[in-house]
Amino acid sequence: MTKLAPLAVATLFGVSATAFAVQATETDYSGLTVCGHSKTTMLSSGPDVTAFLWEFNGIVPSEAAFKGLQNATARCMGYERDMQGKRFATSACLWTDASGDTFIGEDVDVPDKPGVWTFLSGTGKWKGISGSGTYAITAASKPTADGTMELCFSPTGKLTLP
Amino acid sequence: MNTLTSFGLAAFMAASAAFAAQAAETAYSGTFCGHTKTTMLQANSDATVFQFESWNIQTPDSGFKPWENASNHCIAYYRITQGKATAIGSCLWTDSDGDTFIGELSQAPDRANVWTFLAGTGKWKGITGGGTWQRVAAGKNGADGSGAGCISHSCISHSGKYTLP
Repeated sequence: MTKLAPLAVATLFGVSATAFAVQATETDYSGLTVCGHSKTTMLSSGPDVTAFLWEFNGIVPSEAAFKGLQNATARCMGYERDMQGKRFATSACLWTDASGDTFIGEDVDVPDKPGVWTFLSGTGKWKGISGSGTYAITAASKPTADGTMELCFSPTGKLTLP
Repeated sequence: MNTLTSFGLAAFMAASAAFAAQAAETAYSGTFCGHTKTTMLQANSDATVFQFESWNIQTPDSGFKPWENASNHCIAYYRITQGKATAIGSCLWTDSDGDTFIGELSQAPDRANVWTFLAGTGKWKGITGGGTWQRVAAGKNGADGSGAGCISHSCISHSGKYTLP
């Protein structure tokens, strides 16, 4: 019992300390909206299949609730295929914060589920970033004939830094 | 006896249907070459991400007559992390008569690159099936003048099977 106790204490403390350290660096980044300009490069827009590439360039307003990304910019690009009313898309966004540090992540959309965003890597204060989340389109203009439009989206989720 | 005759007729019809289905399956192979325009999002040792658009034509010595002089226009999203490439995209093919078909390409680590037919027009309407593909030649990249990407030249070898209704 006396031999087990220190081990138990050490184990429990060690686990708790590790868990606390992990939790302490996990950040909820909800309260973030990015707005900007989107351009579509259409490959096919028919009754059977619609397939296109798109690019987006946007900025986070300075009053964003998530202070870590106020004035950050996002450059995104991806591929989308729509078939029989079902949407499949894969894209990535490179974010640059106000001090020039960056992180990149990937979003995967499959039918009937929220899109899943996964952090891939980062630089500066974002080095070692991980975590995931989702997003919602929160505003969208009418698309123009040349395939451009303006839109806002709001990512939500949690990120972890080492 | 009548029952046996009926059974025999049914079996013959089933066999005929199976033969008809097999007859519509066609093996294809060949090579297409052209140029690719890449738009880079990020290129570093942690993650390289870009999208590309390419325009190609089936090479004359491919030997697959239905696609002689056929061309394609492809788009794709591409990511390399930890030395492993992942890609997803589509190619729209137009044959010498102007009929078209579209399919999806995918690339994932540790497996062959996959092509899946999605839809077609004209003689390719209702096309299904798929195959594999691989890059067999690549030119040196060059600046495209825009400062935002680069142009490269490549050839893709592909083979597989398709079925028409």
